[in-house]
Amino acid sequence: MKALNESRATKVRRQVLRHFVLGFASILMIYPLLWMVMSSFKPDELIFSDPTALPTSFDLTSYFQGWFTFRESFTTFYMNSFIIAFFAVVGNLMACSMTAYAFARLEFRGRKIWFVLMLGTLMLPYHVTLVPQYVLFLKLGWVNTFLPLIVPKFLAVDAFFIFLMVQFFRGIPREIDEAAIMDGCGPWRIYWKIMLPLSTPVMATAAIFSFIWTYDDFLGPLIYLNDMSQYTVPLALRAFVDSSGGESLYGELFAMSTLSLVPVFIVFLAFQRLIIRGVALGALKR
Amino acid sequence: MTLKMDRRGFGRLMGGGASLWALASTGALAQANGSVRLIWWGNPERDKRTNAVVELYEGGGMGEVVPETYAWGDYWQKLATQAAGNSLPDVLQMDYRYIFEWARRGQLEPLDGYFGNEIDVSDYDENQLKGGMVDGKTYGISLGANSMTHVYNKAVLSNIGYELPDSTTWTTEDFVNIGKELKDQLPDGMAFSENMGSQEPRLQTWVRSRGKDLYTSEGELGFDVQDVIDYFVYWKMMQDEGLTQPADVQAQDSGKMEERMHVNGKSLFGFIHSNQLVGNQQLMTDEVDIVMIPNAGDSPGHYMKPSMFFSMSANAGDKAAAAKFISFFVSDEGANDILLIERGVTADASIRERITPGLTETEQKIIRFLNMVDTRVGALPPPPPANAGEIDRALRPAWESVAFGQVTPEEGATAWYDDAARILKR
Amino acid sequence: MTSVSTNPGGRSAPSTEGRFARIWRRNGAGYLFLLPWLVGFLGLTLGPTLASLYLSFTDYDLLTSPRWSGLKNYEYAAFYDRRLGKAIEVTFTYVLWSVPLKLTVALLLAMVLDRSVRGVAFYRATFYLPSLLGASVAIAVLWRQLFGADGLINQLLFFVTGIQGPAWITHPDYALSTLIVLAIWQFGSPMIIFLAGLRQVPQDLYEAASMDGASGWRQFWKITLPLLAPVIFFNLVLQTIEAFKAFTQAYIVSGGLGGPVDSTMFYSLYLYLEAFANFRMGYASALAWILLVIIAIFTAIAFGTSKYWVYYEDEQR
Repeated sequence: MKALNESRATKVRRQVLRHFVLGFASILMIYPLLWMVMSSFKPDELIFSDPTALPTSFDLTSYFQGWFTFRESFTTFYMNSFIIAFFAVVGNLMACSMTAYAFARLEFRGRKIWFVLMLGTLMLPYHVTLVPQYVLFLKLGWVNTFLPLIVPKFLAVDAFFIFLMVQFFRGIPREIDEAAIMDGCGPWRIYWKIMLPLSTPVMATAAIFSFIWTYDDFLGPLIYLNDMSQYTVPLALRAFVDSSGGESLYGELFAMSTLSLVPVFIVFLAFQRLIIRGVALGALKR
Repeated sequence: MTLKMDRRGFGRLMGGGASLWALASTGALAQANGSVRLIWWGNPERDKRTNAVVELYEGGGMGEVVPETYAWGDYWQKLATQAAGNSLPDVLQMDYRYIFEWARRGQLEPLDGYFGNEIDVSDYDENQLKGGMVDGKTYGISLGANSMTHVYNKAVLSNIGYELPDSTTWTTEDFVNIGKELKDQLPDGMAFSENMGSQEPRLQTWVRSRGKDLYTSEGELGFDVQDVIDYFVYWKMMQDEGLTQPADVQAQDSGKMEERMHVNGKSLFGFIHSNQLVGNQQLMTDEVDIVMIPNAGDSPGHYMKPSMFFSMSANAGDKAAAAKFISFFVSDEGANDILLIERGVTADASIRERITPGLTETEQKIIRFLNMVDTRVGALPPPPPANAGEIDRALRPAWESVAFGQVTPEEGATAWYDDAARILKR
Repeated sequence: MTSVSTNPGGRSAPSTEGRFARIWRRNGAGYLFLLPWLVGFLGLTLGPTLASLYLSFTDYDLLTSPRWSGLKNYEYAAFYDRRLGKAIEVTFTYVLWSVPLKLTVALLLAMVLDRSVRGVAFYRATFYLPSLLGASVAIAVLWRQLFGADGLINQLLFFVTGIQGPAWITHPDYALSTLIVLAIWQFGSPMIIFLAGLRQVPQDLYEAASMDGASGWRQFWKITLPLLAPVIFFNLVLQTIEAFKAFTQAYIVSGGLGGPVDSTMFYSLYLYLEAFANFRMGYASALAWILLVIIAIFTAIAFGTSKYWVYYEDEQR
């Protein structure tokens, strides 16, 4: 009886300690967000002259004015960002998982060569392919449309996700597909009915990264979009500050930056549950 | 079996593709006749004013304008990419630092042929027009003038009760003496001046006040290594005397307004261009004002610099329309009532007279300053050679190696001077 | 590179089958699945990649047509470019410190967050936050506030020891270290991947091990690490590649200058400045291909050693 009590006490103590450590770490992590939110309530002349001071009032003007600062409102920018991010997620999940399945499980000639070339595409700094790629899309007539930002995702150009999925697919025991082959399943069915369902954590991971990286990307939209009616959120955010020393709107910048984190946060919370739920691999395995 | 499943899979892919094509119809490059694509870098305030002028232009039935705008840091990458793809907009905002390079590399259209026809610059200041000339042809119309300044925290100075001497004649020695006098009266954590050792425009006024310039008209270095040595020695002395912040603190300023020493209360004096005063004041509660830069020689090193230009792309679709828009932008009264001096003080005398009364107090300071400088400026410097930008960027690490005590001022100056000569040859 | 496991192999073909049909049966499914990627690779990636390879042998200023210059760019990089040497030194230092530290932190926190602590979803989200802020202006400002002259770090230092610290972020001796700390702080992405990996480890293995009386430490070494090896391998390779190519953080924090005195001049930052600030796209392309070779060597080493420590569930043991 006594021993049991003691172990409960250590358990509680351990829980408290864990929360203390995690909580402290969270504050460290969350500090920039707090600073940004604080700054969004301050007038511009106070943001940098006294950066750590608390705001004296919760003035929401930066939020209202920030939303409507430009010719197009942030409603447009959010719509554009969501359209692009949505297709990027769908495209990446479909195309990269198919490619990864081919590399992880299927037998075909030239597989190693293709795999090496695929990895190679990760290694070249993107600044030097930027201009040739722009010329290519220009010739295709795709500049000033969303196509250069979406089509490549359906063609699995993000080798990161392919490699990621290969590593996870290879963690699925081969006995499972061998059993399926016995039952007369072809590669497509194995991919669709076995691989994908058993890979929820990695697919959710890929979905989170696809969404966040596409949503945060500013170089692609900067290069390929011209019309403000097609701007994405990060492109619009960059227009608040004049780094050449002209008039800038810092309060509005921080207000809109704060808002821009909301969708990523929601997507993260939604998809991380899929990662955490995990798969009942053990049950299937033995 | 296998094949059937595969086909279905690809059918799905194709379906996705089709909806993408539908998305693609949301916009094509506007290259229709009479239509002008316009691009500039800037900020929300400039965007608002420029867009209003575009609407005024379109409302007058003069044609269609398709505007594009980016932040300064993104602008040049975007423009270079568009140039590489031969898809530059028709009217480009150009910077004094880049216009020579872009003109010489064949990207810009000479505008002389349009003067008196589409473009009306009859009221324009001759010198300002010359600022847009490269190898005898005009490649850009100045949108406004500015000059280099020393900005100072007026509130702090009047608290101390100190009166600055006449800035039209003061010297770099006077500047040091004032600094020593004020040093102990300044608020906690505030040094007398920003350290300008890495500021290429400050170095330019330094050598100009000694009757030289950064570059000769042949595109070679226009000053001697001794000038740079003196410059580095001077600013190292300022740092050692405690008149400027230590090197690591000064290095926190990477050139953005919000990082500048004087903006953050870390120095009394700072170095800005006159057209930046409004943006500068906006970030400070204390009132600031601008004065001329101390002489390092016999005369002021100032000149009237075109703050930025409008240029036309050599590949513009409808050149007459582009020229007409440029003309409207710089000479129409209605347009300039909107633009005021946000891009710099206009070189059009009649317009300057017209808009001055409506300006804010901070903007009036700029006009007053430029009027003071105007009669004391030297000639425009010869156009900088192609790699001038790289030499400018190399000055900062060179100065920092001196400031952090890694090398002596002599070594640092000599290394940079040799580097600059090599860069020019490359 | 032994990147992909050897397959048990197709069953032997009946000799009556036509040649084409045999090739199709052996390779068809693979290539059908590979098709989207192949189209993307050949249509969108390969062209620009080869173009950049070609440009690396030219003088190209973006504004006028490229002019063939042979090996000049490579020669200059190998023998004359002093700043490049500094950039390589900075980049290697960054890779060697940031990658192992970041991965260790990511793995540790992933394991802590894998447990069902109350409110764990909240912690996971907040730990991912810094990675969300990746390239925003807030990061630059924040880093200045933490590591600047009057920053939080110095205030703590002064409070505890009475020593006035330097402006860490802009001191040539410490600037790179602050960027390494920043890299570690943004451990969110590998952490999420570790979490997903941990979820693929069958729980019954731990239960069985607990019943056998294996300690937590032993379970970590004998179950978690081996089964997580493919994911650790992935994170190691990808983080190394990313660290070699690191650009954004240095660009943002140093204001694009790589300073002070080039102490944070990363390879990619230098390449970017050459390409878009100095208009030397030809030279920048050569730099890019040199970097590619460097990264490829490291990746090949990783793959070469992987057969000794990475086991896949699909391998025949």
